[in-house]
Amino acid sequence: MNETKELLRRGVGDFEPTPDAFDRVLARSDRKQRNRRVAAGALGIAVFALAAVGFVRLLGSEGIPATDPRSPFEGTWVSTSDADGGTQTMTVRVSADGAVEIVLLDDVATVCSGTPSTMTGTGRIEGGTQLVIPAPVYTCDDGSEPETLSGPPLEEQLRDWTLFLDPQTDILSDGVGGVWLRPGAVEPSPAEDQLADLEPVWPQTSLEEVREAQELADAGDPRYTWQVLGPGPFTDARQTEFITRFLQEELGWEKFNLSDFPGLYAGVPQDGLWVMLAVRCAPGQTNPLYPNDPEGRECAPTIDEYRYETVMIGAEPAGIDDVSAIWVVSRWAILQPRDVHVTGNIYRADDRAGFRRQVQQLVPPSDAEATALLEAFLQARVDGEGAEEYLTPADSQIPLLYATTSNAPYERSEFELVQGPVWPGGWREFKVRLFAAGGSTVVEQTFLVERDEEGRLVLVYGALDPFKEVLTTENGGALAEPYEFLDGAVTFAAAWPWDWYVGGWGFAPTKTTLELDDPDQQRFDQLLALVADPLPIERGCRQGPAPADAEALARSIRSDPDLEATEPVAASVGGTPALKMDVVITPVASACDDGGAPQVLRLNDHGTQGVTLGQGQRMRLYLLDLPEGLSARILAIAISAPEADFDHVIEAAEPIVDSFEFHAP
Amino acid sequence: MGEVALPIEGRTAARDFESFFRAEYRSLCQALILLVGDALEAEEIAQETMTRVLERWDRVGAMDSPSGYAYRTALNLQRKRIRRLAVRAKRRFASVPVPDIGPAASDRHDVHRALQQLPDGLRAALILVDWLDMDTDEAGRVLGLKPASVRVRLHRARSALRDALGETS
Repeated sequence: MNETKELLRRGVGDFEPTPDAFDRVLARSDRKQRNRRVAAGALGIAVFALAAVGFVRLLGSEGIPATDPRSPFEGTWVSTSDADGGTQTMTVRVSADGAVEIVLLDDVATVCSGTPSTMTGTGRIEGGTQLVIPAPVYTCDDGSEPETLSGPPLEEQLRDWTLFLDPQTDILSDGVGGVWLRPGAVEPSPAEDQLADLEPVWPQTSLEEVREAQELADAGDPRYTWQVLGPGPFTDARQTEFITRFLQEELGWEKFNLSDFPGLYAGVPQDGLWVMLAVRCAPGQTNPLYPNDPEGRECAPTIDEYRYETVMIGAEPAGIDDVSAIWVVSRWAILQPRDVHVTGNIYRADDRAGFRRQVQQLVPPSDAEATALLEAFLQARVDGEGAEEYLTPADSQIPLLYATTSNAPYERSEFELVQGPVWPGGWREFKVRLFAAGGSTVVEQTFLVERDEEGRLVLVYGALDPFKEVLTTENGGALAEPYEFLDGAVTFAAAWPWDWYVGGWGFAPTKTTLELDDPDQQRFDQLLALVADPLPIERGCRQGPAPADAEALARSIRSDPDLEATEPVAASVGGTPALKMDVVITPVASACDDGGAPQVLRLNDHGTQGVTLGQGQRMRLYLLDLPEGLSARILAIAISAPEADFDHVIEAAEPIVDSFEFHAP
Repeated sequence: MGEVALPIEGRTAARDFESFFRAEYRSLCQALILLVGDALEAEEIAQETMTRVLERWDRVGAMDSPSGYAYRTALNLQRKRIRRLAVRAKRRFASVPVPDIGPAASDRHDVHRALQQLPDGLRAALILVDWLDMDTDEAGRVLGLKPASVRVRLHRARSALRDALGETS
């Protein structure tokens, strides 16, 4: 390991991600989609899944006709769980009078010293899903006497041998680990059998009780169906009868809140375990500290005026990835006021994540306190100095702190409360406005007023919405971010939703690409690409010779028979003279080998990458000669979009084109 | 993992994404700890990064270097450095860090302090190459720089780090 890496290793320390990291990403993505209100499809599917589960269960229960309970068992079954490596094959026959006969062949039987064995028996089907063989007869095929390695005699061990049928999966199990499938059926992965690791504490307290409850739930018994949560971890914990009943029946809590405040998701799925936090609210009381927050108002603390009895609950299904599985609480802990290590109780493995504390609400900033802080902060910004001291953290990088993008100083300010105080942290979100140039320029920003660890009031650049992308606007537009090209020799600015392009790499030393990446639209065909010293393309995707200048490049593009290009006209890119032309491809344009789409330009890197254009799309090209001294001579800016969106995209790209600066060494 | 309400096509994609996540997430978090000097904030950025990768997985997964895209996204998010409320709230209400004391912690703070003194561009080049073992071509693609420029930044960053930590080469 090199010396620098060893230094850096000291900086990383013994960090390990929390075990629920992946599930939190899924949950985060799910929440983002909901926030964007484009989740109708996903929610529909979730609802469909639940409905489907119900439908399958209905099929499962009705698929065993009361008049003929035999058929589900009849036929051949193959064991997947023979520990000695042999294969067990069982044939079940059901006679007209309901009697059942089995023949079980084992080609390697431990109790017969590894030789084949045969077990036969007659029995009955009970309740539609249980096959009971009261007295199986077990023989070694070589005539020797079977010998058990431990426990009572074999006949006794096999008495009332019972197989349980899961009608949904068409799997038989013997209740002690033996699993039987239809020939050719896919063996379930070991991970799907979670029962072996399950330690239920509520409402069932043993695996046997869980299995029995599962069977009854599968049969539609309302005494247990409330334990089936479907895709549990993505169900709002507050909406589940399962959690409500645990808090009421097991803990005796009449009123409670399953916290969903920022930073704590009410239910965090974690490797099949669903961890959630709940606080007890004083019944019949309202919370005087949060009269205007609906959630906080209804949850008065129970220990003193700030502290809440807090419980952390771990629930898990009796079968991962099985949406029909019943859920049980497998661990829970009442948290203490400070830093209680609950490893081993709530968490399976990760010690570090096990530190949790009782929830304690904070005294929200009063109107007067928040107003005084904001007024002082904004006055400092108008004065042009001293605003930093009000910010947390102290090194916060606030855009346009003292002036607009055109460097106009602020003349006055105002602010308004957007939301808050929000329980239990007392957060208040404010929108501040700073006016410059006689009020013609307005900068809007979002800040939170909150209390720090010492109880002091602080100002934080941020928002209550964890996914809010734009915290600063100028005259209603998002603030442009700086971008560099050609190692900083070319700079420009682009505002969200322009962002780095995802498709392909889009990046090379002589090419970079942005896309108009509005997440509400999920559109990926509105692009702005920069190419340094591009090469023209000739018919058949052949690479043309390097042009002498931008004008020569424009001529080459116009002469490409695969393209229809307008006459280049004079334009400006960040004040530098340029040529502007629009391009579409002809219906018979040659597709290039690498991407399958016709290219307009190719990178000058001896490869085949280029700037492509599809049918039905239009491209606006800006071609310009770069100033002397830069590492490239020609720059092409290619803005492309489907015809229907072209004008909109060109308009959105205009500020970028205007922002270009060239920095000769 | 529990059942996830993803579109049907998304379920297959999500499985591929999970493999990518399992392979990359720890390294991403570690790199971000070095970049921002705070484990909670690093995890928040890593979570947002991976969420964005997931949302675009049908295209990112087909790229030559999905991890390159992830690191580029992480660097962009880090550059914005919005101290998310979730990070502060978690620190305040949920996850109480283990007391950070002892020689190892002191060492860690020294390294973080030295790294934070480096300009963003130098720090990113150092972490991509010296911590993540990217070559300068790959780091250049993530940073949008020529490989030669990455090497220059790397040289400066290494020297500055050693100077700050009082170590000899």
